[in-house]
Amino acid sequence: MADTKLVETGSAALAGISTEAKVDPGILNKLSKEKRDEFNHVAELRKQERDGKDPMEAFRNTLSRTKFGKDKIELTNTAFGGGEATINNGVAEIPDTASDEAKANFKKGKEINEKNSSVLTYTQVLKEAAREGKTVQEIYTKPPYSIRTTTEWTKQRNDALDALLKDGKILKNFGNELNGLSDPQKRDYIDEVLAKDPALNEAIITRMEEIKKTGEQFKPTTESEEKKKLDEDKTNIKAELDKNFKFILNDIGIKDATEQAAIITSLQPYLDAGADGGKLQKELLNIVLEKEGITSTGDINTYQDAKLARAQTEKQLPVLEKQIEDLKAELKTVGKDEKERKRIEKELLDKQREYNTAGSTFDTAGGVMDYLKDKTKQDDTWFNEKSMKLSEIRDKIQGEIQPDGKRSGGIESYTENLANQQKSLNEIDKKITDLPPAADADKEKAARLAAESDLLLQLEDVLSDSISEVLLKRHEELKDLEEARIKKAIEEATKAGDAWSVQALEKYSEALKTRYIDSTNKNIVTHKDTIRDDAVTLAHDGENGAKEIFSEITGMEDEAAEKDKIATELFSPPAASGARRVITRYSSLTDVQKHQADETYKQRVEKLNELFDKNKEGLEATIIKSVFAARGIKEKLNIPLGGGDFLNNNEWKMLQEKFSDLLTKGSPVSAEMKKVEEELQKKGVKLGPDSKLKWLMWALLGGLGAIGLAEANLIKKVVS
Amino acid sequence: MDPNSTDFSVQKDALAKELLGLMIRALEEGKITEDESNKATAFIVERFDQAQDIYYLKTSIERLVANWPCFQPALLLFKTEEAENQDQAQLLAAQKQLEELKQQTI
Repeated sequence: MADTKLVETGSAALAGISTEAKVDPGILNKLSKEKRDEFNHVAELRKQERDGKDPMEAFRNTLSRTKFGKDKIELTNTAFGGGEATINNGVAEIPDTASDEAKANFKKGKEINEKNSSVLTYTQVLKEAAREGKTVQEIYTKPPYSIRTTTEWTKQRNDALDALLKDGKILKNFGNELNGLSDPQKRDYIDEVLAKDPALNEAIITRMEEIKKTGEQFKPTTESEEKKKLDEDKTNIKAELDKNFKFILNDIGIKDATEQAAIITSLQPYLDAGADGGKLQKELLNIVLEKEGITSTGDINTYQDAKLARAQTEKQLPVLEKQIEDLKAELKTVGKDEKERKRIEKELLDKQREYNTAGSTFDTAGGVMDYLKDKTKQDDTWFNEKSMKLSEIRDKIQGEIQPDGKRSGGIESYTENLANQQKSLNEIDKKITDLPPAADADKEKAARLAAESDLLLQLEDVLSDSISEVLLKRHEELKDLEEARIKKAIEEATKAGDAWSVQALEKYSEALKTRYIDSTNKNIVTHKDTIRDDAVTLAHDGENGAKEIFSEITGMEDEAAEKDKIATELFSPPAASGARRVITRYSSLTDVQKHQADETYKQRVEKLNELFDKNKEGLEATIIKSVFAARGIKEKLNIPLGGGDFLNNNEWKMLQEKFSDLLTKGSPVSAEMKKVEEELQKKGVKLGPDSKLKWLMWALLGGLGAIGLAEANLIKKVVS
Repeated sequence: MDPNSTDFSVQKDALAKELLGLMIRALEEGKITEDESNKATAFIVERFDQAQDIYYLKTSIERLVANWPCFQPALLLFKTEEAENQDQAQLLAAQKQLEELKQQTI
């Protein structure tokens, strides 16, 4: 039982906390959602406090609600996309009208979030199962997860672990060490030493919440009113133009959407070039005819003309023949009336000429038709069909031929409309181009997109940063465990009146807190050089090196210097206020005094040895874990383990050999390591005695073992 | 519940109650956001589950305070005890010196 006691004063009493929450419900409605949530959070904690429930139970209840579900992921997605992304039916979307840059940001954010979301879901299920004492299946089959089959769950697990394994920055931490394993073994390793640790889920959630909040604070981008109005007009006219296009095509019998789209695409360049209604009508006719395979309209027209001429002359020739015969008969009977004879002769001559011309036309038309058939390698049927189709299309597009020979009732008025609408669009585009630079709006938009890019970098780092945080967290646990042990030792030394040990232990305690990774406040400082120097000393000199470091930390000098220090402490007169104490050298002491100083020195050496024996493992583990933790804090350091400027391969090898006992020493660590190793072995993952993976596991399993939490054991129980 | 008890589980309970009260107060006064309180809660739960003795609990609360100063008053529970211990140690040291002086005089 500890001697340390808690004093009676409670801060609740000191602070005079009211245990009743009295809030007008109307006020709640006026609060932002965030504030309302906070209020509810406090109210619930208060209720649990008032009900006299176990305070830890109240904390645990709060914790099991900490989630980052699909709704929050979608909300985070809207942080990207230049302020134009919105949630529609629970899914983040970005309109087509958004700029390319905005769309690119949105797409990237969504891709990263998909990966983060898969890790979040998997680790969330494990955490909930552990905290609620249920099996993972009991959790994942229920909302919000609703994963129905084990196959689906296995896929969820694999996706999540692969997302961790394929993250370039995470690989930097585990890279080469993992290369010797198969993919399923890699997953098992990451699963056992990292994913099952609730701290990873907590770390990811913290980061995602931060990103969501930053995104929510982004300013919505604004545009000038004039530009906004022009954009609106443009959108409306474009919609009308599209509608018009479709109406025309439907009207001429082209109803298939794909065909319509193809025709619009072909006609668009003419529209863009400013073609008038007539030109558009002509080009539309050409496009439609081409689509129907009518490419040689001239030949078809000529064939049609020739056919008509031949048909007309074919009817005309027998009539003329009859008329000629009649005139010839009349001539025979005319008698001597010269005037009448001449009239008949002239008429006969005219009819004869007419007959010859018609005959010639008949022959020529036939020749032309034969020539065209030969030229196009088509027959009469083809020409007849195409002629009919051509007439039909012309009738629809150009209108039917009227008695005056002109076509009327076509689509020219509609194409004229198209031309006018396009003209309006072109004018709006010009106005937009001519708008004075909307400096503020543009700047705002550019600033938002730049801020989004920064946030994307942060989002990309969520998983790797979270792992770094877990490494650091485990390192801190070890340090705190050491610190607690030292506190107890200091208390004991204080009671024993051993001032020197108290001082030495206080120095050691301070060194553990600040010498390697100083996390005594929120701004963590990593002392890379000290970590490197001390790790190299351990690698080269083993336990002697550790003692050297311990002596330095506790302020123990070499023998001569320490004896001089003792001589001053024992025999110099006390210094006057503000003055420095007179230094007494050991060499100047009398034999009796020397003897006394020697005895004191001897006692100090004994005490130092005793303290070192009690603290060496903690010191060694702290130094080596600092290597891993510092390596994990990638923004500040990029330290390759075994290689580069930190520890070279040989030094790392020496360190491993000299301190391999640490992997099995210390009951909580070894117990947890053993459990995890057994779990991995069951799955076929065997780690050799010098395996770096084993050291990484040791670093991740923390001061008290993966978490040392009861819940960690529970996780293993429910998962296995 | 007796906060002066040397029974570790009773001490743990007293501290947890204290921390819960401080968290509620900090949330009400806006000294901590809900997100931050969730983070602090995760830390408290983890450390309380790990703690085997009052020393680790104290170290953990010092770290808690380093990150979330709103829990500072919880350290008062330890401080006074520490001061008592220091007084006790000083008294013992003075008695020891006195004893030595007596022997030298004799």
